[in-house]
Amino acid sequence: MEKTEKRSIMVWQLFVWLFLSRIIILFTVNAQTLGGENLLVLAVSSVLSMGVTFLLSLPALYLHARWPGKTICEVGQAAFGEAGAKATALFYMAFFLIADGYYLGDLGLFLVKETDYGSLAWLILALITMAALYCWHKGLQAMARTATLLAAAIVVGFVLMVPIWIPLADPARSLPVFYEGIRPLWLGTAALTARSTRFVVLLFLLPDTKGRVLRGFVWWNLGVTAAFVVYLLLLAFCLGEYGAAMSYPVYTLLQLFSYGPFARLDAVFTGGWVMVMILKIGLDQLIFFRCLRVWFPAVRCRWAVLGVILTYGAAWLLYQNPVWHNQVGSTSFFLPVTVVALTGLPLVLVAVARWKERSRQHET
Amino acid sequence: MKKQEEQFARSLPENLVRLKNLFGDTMDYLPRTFRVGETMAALITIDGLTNKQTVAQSILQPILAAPVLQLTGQEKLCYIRDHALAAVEQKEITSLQMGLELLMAGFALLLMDGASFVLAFGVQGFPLRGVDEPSNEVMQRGSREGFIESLQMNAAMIRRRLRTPKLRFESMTVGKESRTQIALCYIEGKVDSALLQQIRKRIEKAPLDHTLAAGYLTPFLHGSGIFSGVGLTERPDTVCGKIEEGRVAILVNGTPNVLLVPFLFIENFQSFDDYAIRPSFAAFARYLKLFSFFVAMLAPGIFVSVCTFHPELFTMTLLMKVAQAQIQTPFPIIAETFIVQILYEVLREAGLRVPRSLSQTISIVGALVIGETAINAGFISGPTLLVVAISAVCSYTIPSLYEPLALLRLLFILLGGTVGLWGVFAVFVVVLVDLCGENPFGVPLGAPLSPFSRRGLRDSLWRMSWKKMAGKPFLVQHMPGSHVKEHEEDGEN
Repeated sequence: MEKTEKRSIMVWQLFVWLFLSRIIILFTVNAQTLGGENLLVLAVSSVLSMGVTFLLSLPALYLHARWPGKTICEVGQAAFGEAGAKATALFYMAFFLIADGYYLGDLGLFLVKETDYGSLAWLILALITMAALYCWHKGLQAMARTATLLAAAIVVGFVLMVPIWIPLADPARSLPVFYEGIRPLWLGTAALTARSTRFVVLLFLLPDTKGRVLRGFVWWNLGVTAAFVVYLLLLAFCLGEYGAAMSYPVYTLLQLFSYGPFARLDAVFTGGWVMVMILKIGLDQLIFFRCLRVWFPAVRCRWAVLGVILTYGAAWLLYQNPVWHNQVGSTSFFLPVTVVALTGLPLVLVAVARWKERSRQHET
Repeated sequence: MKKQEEQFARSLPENLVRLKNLFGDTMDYLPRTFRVGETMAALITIDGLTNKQTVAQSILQPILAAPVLQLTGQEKLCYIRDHALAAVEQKEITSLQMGLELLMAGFALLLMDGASFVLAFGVQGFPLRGVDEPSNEVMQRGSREGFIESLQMNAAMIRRRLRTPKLRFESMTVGKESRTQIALCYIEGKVDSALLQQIRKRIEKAPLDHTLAAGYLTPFLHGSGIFSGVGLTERPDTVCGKIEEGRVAILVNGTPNVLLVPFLFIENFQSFDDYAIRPSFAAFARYLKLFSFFVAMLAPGIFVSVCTFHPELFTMTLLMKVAQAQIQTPFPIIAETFIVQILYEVLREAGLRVPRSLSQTISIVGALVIGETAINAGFISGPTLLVVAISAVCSYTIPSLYEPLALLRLLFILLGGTVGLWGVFAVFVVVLVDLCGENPFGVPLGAPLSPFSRRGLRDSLWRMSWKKMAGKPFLVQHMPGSHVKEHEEDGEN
């Protein structure tokens, strides 16, 4: 495992992987969570959110440009010594635990609410976390390659399905963009930015990549935004207000899908959701384990199971308690956490590390 | 520090006592003492491994007739080596261990009192199976020759096809007790030296007591995972094709199977026939096999999960048919499919193990008695049997993947019946990640599909014409994502 971790992946592989993870997060949100009942305004919000997240990601991009081989924990070490590295590692361990717990819990809640097999949700979540552990065991490259294959399959599937939905679409079904005023726009932007937890991965994995980061970053964001806008337009024009009232509108949209012998692809969508979740959690477990190694450098690989157990525990707690799940998933909780993880903490660490570096240069 | 090897003594009685102590009272140890002039000599053989006629006529007779009466033991042996038996395959040895190895490889040892060395004569004469068509890799248009149990014969079959001085056979011994001779076969200049070094190291480190089949070495050559990164073939032409691409073939004495390292997943879908037929049909056959692989792995699991959890995925007509059949059987569909699958595996195993004369009976009992009667009696539904049968037939198109497929199929059935498509998809990701991993030598198992290489595709998803492939070898170490040399630096797992 250690040997596999040493190897790097291409920048495009990382961004394809992150594209997949973000798409699945965005496709599973609903209008209420994003602050409003108008799906079209969310399309505008997603474009605004893209700009905001770009600004929020600047410290991460600067960190990589300044110290290409260093992760945020190593910058923490440079800024505040070992204690700084450990505190940074602990923060990000907690961050990924909460984020994964929430998104996995979301899948659990979906199984409970939308399907007849909610009683099996605990088993499905356990299966996902175990599969994620195996993915972690196979290493960064294996996961990145799998993500590329899955992304290709999902994008091809999506592109083939769009022409089938287009005849069902009727712009008259949707509300005008700013029907409810400008507030939903800001709420949607904030909510989508809060769900940009995947950007935090850059702080850990950019040192493992080869290639042009900025170009990959831009294409990734453009791709995610474009796919999300197309999805929102389809939802708005095919389902109208009905779609905005759904907890899982994509599921409803897929239930409407029918072409020849193919019908009711909702189960296939859940399958796709499961597959992407496995890769997403596998990636986060990799980061979790690296953070664990900051605390215990000699920790053995078998302790990776700790991250999986904690993630499962968090997911189980959240899907068993929908109120907690809503609170954790609310913009008021997730936005500050994401901003601190993506911008606040890296900004402080980069500033202090840079200041210390300059001081040392002056001394010499 | 290397342990000092035990040497033969100059005294013949001492050597005979040492050998007697080593072999005890075993019946096949045949020491024959005689006099050459005034000097005592002994010819040691193992019964059944040598040709008695050759020993008598080509070894003993010339020795006894040699004009060596006035010479010392050492001089007599030198005369025999250089004159009397100069035409016979011989080796001069001093090491007792080497002597024992040659003795058990069918050599005859000539010991002379007072001589500082021993002569070993190649007089092997054990019965060998004739060269035959390999039963596990039947081809339509290739050679009909398959490997046999003799390492030397197998090496000769490869040498006959590749008449290049760059072809190398590197001899090694594995198994502390069995001392099995193996040979690493490769083409100098095409094989990656780091890869070769890795293979040598892994085989040397294998803590085996016995190596009775090629499969004994496999676990030391592929890492953990569902699919093996080590190939197996019984065909010399396949070995030639693979080593031309920079691979290493491992020949093991006593087995007709040759290991191929490193082995890519896509190679399971290739056969030697592909290169002898038109490229378009070869590509078609590969797609069929690829399709069969997915059907063999997933069909029963998806069938069970859809019937149990997602019947809405069936069209109404199909749903009615399945429901009608299912309502008449006493078991839930997961149990029914699992039982049928296990029953099929039992029949297959029985068909493999019973004497050939009985295998037809097994087929009749399996297909007609059990299959038809079980459906008529209402124990098993027709659709279930059909799905299991289709997946079984599909799995036969890729026999090299049968083992992982059989186990994965059962896992998919269990998970499909327990948690539906979610479970099937979860395991499918695990399978995909495994395929996208790499073997211990740093060559991606899924190449050239993942990581992708357009150039690598010329002999994977389709087979380009020889006009385009000839003269442009694509070596395995040039596969995308391959980093054999880094492994060398990193060291062992």
